[in-house]
Amino acid sequence: MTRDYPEKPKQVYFFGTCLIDLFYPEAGLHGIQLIEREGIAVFFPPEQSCCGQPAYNSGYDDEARSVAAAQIACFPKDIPVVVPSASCASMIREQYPSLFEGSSLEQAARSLAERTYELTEFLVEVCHIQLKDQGEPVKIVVHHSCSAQRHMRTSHQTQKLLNQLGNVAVVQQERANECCGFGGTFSVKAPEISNAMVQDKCDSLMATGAQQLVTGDCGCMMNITGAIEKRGDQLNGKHVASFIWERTQ
Amino acid sequence: MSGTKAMMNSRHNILQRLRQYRTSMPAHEQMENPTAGVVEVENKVGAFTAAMEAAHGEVIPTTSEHWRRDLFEHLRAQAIHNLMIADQSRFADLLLQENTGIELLPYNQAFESMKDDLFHRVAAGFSVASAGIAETGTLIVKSGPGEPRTLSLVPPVNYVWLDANTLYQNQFEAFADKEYMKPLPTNLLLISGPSKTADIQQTLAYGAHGPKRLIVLLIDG
Amino acid sequence: MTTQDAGHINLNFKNRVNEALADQELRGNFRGAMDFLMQKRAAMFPDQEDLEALRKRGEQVRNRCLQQLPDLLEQLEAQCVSNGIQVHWAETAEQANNIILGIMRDHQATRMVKGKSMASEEIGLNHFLADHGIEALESDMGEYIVQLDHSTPSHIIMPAIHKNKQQIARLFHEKTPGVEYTEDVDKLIGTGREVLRQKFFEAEVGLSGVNFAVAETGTLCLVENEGNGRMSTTVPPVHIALCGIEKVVQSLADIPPLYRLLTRSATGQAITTYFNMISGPRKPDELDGPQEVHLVLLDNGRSRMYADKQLQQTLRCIRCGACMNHCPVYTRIGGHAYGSTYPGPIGQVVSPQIWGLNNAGNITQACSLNGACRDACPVNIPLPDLIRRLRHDGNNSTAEGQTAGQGQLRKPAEAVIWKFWALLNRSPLLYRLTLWSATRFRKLIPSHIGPWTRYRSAPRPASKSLHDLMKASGTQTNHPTNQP
Repeated sequence: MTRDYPEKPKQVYFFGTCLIDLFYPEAGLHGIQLIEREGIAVFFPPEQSCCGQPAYNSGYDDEARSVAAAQIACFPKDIPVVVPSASCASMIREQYPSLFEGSSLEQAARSLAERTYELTEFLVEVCHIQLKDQGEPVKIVVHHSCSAQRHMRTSHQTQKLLNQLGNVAVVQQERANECCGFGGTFSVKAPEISNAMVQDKCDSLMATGAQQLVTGDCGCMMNITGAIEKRGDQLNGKHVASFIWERTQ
Repeated sequence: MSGTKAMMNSRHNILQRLRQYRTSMPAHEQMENPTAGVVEVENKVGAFTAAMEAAHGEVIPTTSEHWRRDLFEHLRAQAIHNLMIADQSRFADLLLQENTGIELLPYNQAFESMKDDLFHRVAAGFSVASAGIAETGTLIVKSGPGEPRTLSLVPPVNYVWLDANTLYQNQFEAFADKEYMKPLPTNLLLISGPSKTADIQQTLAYGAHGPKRLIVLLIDG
Repeated sequence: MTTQDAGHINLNFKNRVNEALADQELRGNFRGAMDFLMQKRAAMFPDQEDLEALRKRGEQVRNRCLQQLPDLLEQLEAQCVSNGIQVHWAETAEQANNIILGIMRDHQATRMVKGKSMASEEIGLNHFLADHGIEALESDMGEYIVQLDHSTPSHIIMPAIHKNKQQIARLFHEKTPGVEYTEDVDKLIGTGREVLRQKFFEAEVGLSGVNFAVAETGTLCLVENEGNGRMSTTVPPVHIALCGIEKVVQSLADIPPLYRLLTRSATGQAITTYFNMISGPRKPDELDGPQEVHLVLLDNGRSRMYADKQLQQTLRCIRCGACMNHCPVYTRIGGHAYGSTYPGPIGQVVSPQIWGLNNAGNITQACSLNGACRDACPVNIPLPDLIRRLRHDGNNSTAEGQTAGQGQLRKPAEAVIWKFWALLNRSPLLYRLTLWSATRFRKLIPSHIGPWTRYRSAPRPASKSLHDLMKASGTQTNHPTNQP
């Protein structure tokens, strides 16, 4: 499961992801700022949109492929592509090669997959980032997406990053490894099952008494904080990029 | 279409489909790692005993000189009043020499004639293991004229004789021993404890259908 | 089950799911059981590297055997026949049922005792035999409990896992004459032992499954803890072994890595009480053993699975159940909700391929693609990928696979949505227009939008998208030049 990481580059692309674009843009901005602070120039191609995963997971491969092809065209230069979501990063890294197998875009898809990194993975393994915590003491609970745990396998890097913050205490929730029930279109196609899962996840998160929920994936965040709000509980959610940026200013 | 003809068709169709599509299978990849899953065991007797006892088996450490004495002492102490042994068992003559006060029942007829006794009368059966596996606390019993398989299955108690010198470290070692394994008997039995089940709310209970007690006479010396 | 019966898998899936989710006792039973099984498995694999090496070995062994499947099947047949085992081939469930009925009739037998066989559940054997006046009694404790309840297994290893102790105690008390109500597990098992012992004694034919069939030696291997498998295959004069064609392995050396993975992955055991290797009926100089042993090789869709490069990975399965033990969906809806012989992740992959997507494809929706199953699978079957693939095949009548019912799950309304979605997302202009509208008119987004807002507050678009912020900030939005 290990991956070879390159030397710190001078330039990278940033793929914002459609969820962050529309719902959590500050997470994208903070991710970019974290990278720029490490002395790397960040390029945000404006033609980018969505990685194609929603259609792909629903079994609509042609539609997914047409959108994925448009994304491949956004990142032509052979420099790293950093993605503030393990879910979208894994779509590119794990699925793009097979999605374009046998097509004229196969090479381009492979090349893109090779140089795609999840944000915390990139900060830890490529930038060797050093963080200095300027924030107030706080108790947080961290939710690692299934993509981070079992596809990109970057959850330990997210953890490493957070562990550098001296005033942050991380509490572990029960059944931390279990899916929160988002699963993209799963949450609307199998809503009752998804709800059963997110309710259990909310229970375990609330039981920690944490003041703040931090996660690397906005899909999970939208799912969890949406459920927390609907049931009248209180737990603020933040993307790991925003959480770190705000505390290390 | 007659039964056999229909079946020959099935056989043909199945194999033909498999052969037709077999080119779509990935070519045989790299070397399989022969050490994956292989655990070396130094103290074979210790490992065997620990594993067998963890599975609720009982181990009587004994010697080639004393095992018969130990066996009959155990039977008496446990108030087990009879012991069935195969007529052609390796130790039939040896055991029948002893005058022990325990009723020795010979398994000397076809199963159909023994069935009633086996199910309703026999308190304990005596089997001989031809080898064992240390890592998992396993007895290997080869069925044959001297080892009827129902003897280690039907009576509620099973005594099994095992020579510690025949212990393999692990199953890999045992199955790789071609001289030992082949030719295979009609039943090669790996027995690793008394019968059990956890089908009721994952709670372990012993004595499901096979013997409730498995007692190993472990011959060491 | 017949293909006809299988039709209800799709039809009533949603209802069964909702019923299961509302059943608090059932959910408690499954939560407790799955936690237990996951812990047991984890305890057997303390070293991650060792585990990965063993899984890789298992995967390679299975791949090698599958690659040679037709040859191995022929070798198995030849060896079995020379050992005195009669070999039958069944392309369909119907054929398998008729072959087994035929053997029963040949012996004028009306009483069968069964060791455990999921393949026999797959073909609906018990009902078929009952229709022909033959009693097929389950002897595995879990199967026996489920049969008392006039139900089916909810898990491929632990058939009665959906019931707790109290429910089973009640069942024994109500269905077994002379049995007082007790929750003492030892006493309950004792009752089962007594009842079933009589059945072993009386049975005319015993039927079992097969865990591994060794081509090199013509040997059928059975894995069990209770002893009912040995009873069923030793006591009655006739033994019938029902075996999926994918269960064949090449040689004895293939057994140890697979058996090791199986027991540890399934129940967290180092080894099962019994591992029985059957290589023939009673020999002339032997005192016991069945007079006849029959091997029924079952295809029922497996050779079609073999045809597809990606889906053939389904056939590596060694039926350990680890996937369903780790599945957060299975844990919450239980096995019966799937409506299929095979529940959980492997069930979602195998059921549509056996009975057709048109009959069983809907259950592929009950998956968040979280990957816990893939990580637990001892032979590295990429279950989420296969589930997703079957979703694709359900939507796509021109898909390259061999699964029946391709394209029959396509919903025209959904297809239009994805076409529209693709149009928006591959046109930078349309995409940014959508972003602009959503952010500028965010206050107009309704608070109730379908299933999402049933359980969550409606997501609120930001006032400015990331694209907007990029324009405002100093971040380069043109493409990087070739200068450093």
